[in-house]
Amino acid sequence: MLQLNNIEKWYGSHHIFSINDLNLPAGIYWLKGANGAGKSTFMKLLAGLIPFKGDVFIDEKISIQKNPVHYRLLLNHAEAEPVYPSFLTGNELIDFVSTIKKGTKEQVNEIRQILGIDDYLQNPTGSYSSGMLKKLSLLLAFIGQPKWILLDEPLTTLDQSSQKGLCELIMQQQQQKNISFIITSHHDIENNDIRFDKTFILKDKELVTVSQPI
Amino acid sequence: MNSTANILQRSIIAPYYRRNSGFFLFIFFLLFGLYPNFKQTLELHYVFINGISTSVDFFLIALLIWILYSFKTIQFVNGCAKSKTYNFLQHLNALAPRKRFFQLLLLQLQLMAPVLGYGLAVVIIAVINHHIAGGLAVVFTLVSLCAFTTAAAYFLLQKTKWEGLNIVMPSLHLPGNLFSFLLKFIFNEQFAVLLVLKLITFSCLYFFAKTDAQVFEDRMLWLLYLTSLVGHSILIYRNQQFMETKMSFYRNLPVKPVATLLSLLGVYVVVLIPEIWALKGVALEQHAVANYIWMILTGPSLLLLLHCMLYTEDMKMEGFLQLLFGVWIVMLFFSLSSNRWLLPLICLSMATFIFFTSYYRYEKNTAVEGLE
Repeated sequence: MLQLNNIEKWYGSHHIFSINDLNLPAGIYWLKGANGAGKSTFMKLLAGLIPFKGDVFIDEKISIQKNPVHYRLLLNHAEAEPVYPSFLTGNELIDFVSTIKKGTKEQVNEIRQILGIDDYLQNPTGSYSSGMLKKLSLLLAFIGQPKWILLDEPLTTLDQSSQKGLCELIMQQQQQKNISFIITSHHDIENNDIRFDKTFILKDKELVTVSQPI
Repeated sequence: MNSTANILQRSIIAPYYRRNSGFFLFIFFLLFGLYPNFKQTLELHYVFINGISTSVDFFLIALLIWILYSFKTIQFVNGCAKSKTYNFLQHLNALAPRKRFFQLLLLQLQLMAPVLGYGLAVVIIAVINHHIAGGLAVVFTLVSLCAFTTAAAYFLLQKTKWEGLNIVMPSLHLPGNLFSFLLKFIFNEQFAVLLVLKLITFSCLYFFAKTDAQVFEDRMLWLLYLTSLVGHSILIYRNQQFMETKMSFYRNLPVKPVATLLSLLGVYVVVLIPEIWALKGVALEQHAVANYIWMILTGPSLLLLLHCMLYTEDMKMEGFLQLLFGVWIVMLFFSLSSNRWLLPLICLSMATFIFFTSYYRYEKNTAVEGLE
């Protein structure tokens, strides 16, 4: 369960959105919204990348404000436009995140295979294309034992076979490990074999439900 | 000023001086701010300037510094040429080669202005003192550096894949953590700044620490040391920016804040190894062991404090410099008192307090500026 309490996000005097109370049971959620509606801000906020007013709880007791370390162990995030230090290799980043998120080599290898990530991980990320960076960020987001994974525009810049692999991975992780997902995307993901429990839209600075559970 | 020169001025020259303002302020203070009066400052520089045109050793030291500075300007242009936001500079390639070279020469002359200014003073003094050979050597050096850097800029803006200017450090197999990533960032991407900074601070501190304490009282040494520490502001600022841009994913990792803080402290201990080594004369020659201990403890603590202060709000370099000046003044007065042993403790306590209260509240303002 992901519980959002009295969330408010402002950039200076610019109000981005407010969410009074929202409880998200385990599942897969699709967050929609026009460009600039605040989808990425919402994801960054949940991931603990940016400050905000209010609180978010995982399983009712692990608060982002009061238990920031434990919260981050249970929630992973892949950015829409990932950026990494250009001199670090993909493998270095994977080792780093695996150590902190308590991931295993077997887990990394499995995700690599599904996402179709080949040998480029031994090269510095400065030499990667945007698609390769995207795959790396997705791989990093699946490392560890998270209860929630936030994927911001995960299909953008991915080739078709990787898109298919990602959809399979999401469904597999949800069914086998009960990991929940919040996904933002402009792509029509419903055609890509992901069964969403609910779809939200960020509109007029509020989060609105646009469809009920299937 | 024509439109090309105007664009180069606004997109390369102004950002170069803005980004390096901390570095220039530090060098300026070191060259002109450490001496009791203006007359003594002039006399000292006269000795330097005269030395460059008459002594091979002095000339070689100046040559090394000028070459390093030239590489720094080329590194900056190289960074611009590689950056996507500078793609518009490709339009320069539409200019006739001679005109393009001339525009880039004007650009380099402005980037090299600090070196050219000092070099011009050397040439004038050399001519007045009839050291024509020395003066000609300086003129030849400066003209060569300008020609070389202009040619490099010309080449780089063609977006040819020339990696020759990227100083690749031998890869150290350190465990992957924030500590090693920051060190790699410093040694890979800030090497020129680090080298120039360390050359200056090491030689100054080594000289002062070796000198009999009766010649220079320890207040002078503390003044120089604190100035050297504050001179690291450019490194600290870039480290923090690096963490919040290229390593923004780090904020989603379950890392205890104390671990992050200790990693930063570890980085600044490593960065200050040359200064710690240079100051050993305080303990060995001047037999002021306690003073030496307070100095080596103060160094990393102060750098950590400066880094943590950057989390209080999203500062531009100019704002950080104002803050630095205030910290430097306070530290300077404190170092003059008999309670200077409290300096590392105060710095560490303040750094810890600021970090724990500000780190999770920090947010880069770039998005805000666009909205308001």
